[in-house]
Amino acid sequence: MFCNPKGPFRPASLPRLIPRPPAIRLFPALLALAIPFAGPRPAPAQAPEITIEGQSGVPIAIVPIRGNGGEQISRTLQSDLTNSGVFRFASSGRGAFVAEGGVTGSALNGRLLDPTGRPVLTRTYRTGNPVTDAHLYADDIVLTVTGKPGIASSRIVFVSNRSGHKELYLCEYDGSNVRQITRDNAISASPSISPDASKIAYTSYRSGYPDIYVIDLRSGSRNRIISSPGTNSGAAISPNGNKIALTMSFAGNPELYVTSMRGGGARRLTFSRNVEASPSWFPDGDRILFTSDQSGSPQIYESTAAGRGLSLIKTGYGFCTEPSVAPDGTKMAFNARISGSMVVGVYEFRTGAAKVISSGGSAEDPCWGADSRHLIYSKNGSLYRHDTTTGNTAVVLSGMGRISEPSWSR
Amino acid sequence: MKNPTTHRDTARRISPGRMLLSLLLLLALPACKGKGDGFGNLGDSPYGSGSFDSDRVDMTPLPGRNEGVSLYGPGSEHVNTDLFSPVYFSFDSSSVSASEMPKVDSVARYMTEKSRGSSIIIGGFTDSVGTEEYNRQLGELRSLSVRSELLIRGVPPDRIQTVSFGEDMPAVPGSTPQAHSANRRCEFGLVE
Repeated sequence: MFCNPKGPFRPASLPRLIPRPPAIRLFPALLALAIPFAGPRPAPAQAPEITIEGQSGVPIAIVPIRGNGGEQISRTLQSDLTNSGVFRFASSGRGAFVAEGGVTGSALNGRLLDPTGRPVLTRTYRTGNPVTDAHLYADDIVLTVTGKPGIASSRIVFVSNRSGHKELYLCEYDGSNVRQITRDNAISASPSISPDASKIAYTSYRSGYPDIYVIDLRSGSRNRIISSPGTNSGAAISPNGNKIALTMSFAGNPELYVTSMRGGGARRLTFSRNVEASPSWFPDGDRILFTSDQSGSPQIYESTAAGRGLSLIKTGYGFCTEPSVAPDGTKMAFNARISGSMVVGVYEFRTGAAKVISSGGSAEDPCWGADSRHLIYSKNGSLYRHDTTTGNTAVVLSGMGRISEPSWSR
Repeated sequence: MKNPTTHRDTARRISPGRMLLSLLLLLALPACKGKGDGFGNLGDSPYGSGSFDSDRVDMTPLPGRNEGVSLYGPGSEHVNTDLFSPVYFSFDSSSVSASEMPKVDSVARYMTEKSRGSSIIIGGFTDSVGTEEYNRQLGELRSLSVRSELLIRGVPPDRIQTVSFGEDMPAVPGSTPQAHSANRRCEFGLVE
């Protein structure tokens, strides 16, 4: 059910098998075509030698999907490709990619043609769910064209107080198919969904104390993995899904630890008399960002996952919390307090440049999508998705109580 | 202690030389309150992964949790939250101000003189300014700060539990300055 066919995407390890052709005035996004993919991915395409004028996206045309349920698949595909921010829609013809396909039995056969008409992606999807198949096909199209993972097959876990208690809910990336996960009549908080969307680690006050639980979404099982004395919260599942970083206070102060997914082998990272909170993993899993107020006000710090090499990230803002490392490792999103309100900022590690990307209301708890381009955050009780390339912001979910603390799978 | 390099210098396995250095550093810090239980050896703790040192001298590990008794969850019927006044805090602060200290004194007196076998749960809370997870940890730091004051006043560490609710369960709903002030607090629950 929670199938995720994506292999790990490792740009650094991609061999450059195909030389970039001497294309003139090639649209930058198409350059990605020259980059082949790792793993059982669609066959890489050579960049077509074409010139595209006046673009605000890669032109693509969708040929209505043939067969049973094709209309729903076409609609989902169009929505996903729009939400990717990568494309603009063109009528079939010259200069555009063409996405086509048909349903045979319960399988979706997808085929993407590059602007010269050559197939660059041919794949069959058989999850049994036509919408899921369409999401997977959309992500393969994004990967084929941009070289980066898409967000269409991802899921979001979040907290809502709709029932009168803070409980966990799960939905698709676009806010569809909302399911209530917990029914504890106790506070559920700070969820972290694993990159493959198979597990959720979160804080529950079921025992009267904040403990860490892990839910296996495939089996439906739930285990309390950490119930140390004091407060245990802020669990963040590592990129490879086998570790948890969190804050525990049993030693007499809130400190960061890394444990196994079963809560064992706790390794302590910080030693201070201050708050350490909200760890976020770098994609390589050997460094983390977190919040600490050891300088007098909360700021973002970086250290190795062994607690070495502590350094302050100078964002330029006085009160910073909730760092989220982008999956490509080049930037982080964070919260800053400006004029009494929380805003979402994006900080680039290479340049040290930070900018605010939210406006109006208190925007909290940013989290990157798989494409390292989109962010989700909560604002005024609603869930938003922001495209950091175009600057567009969309409401993903609203009107279901107060939504908070979203976490996004890859 | 606010120097980030203290983090880097705190290796998990400490050589005798570094241990001596750490001790000298601790002795050189007159501001720290000596409790004599400085090094948190958690080698036998189910929560820690082995022994490590700590650069704080007043870090006393929390006692094992008394499952089945909590401030607002299971077993809260055994907890009296009406006996002591809440301690209030400034924005983003976990320091107990001088004006709030008499409340801590009265809790300490009760636990060391009147009811020597009693135990207490300190609940930490914050206003709704800022993000939820930071506030959860700030609330815990407030609980632990009040706990430190109780320890100084002779309350045994094995009779104090802490819990943080962050900005959840506000005393006063809303986001007025008055509500914020009323919500930045620690509550005491006496286990009966």
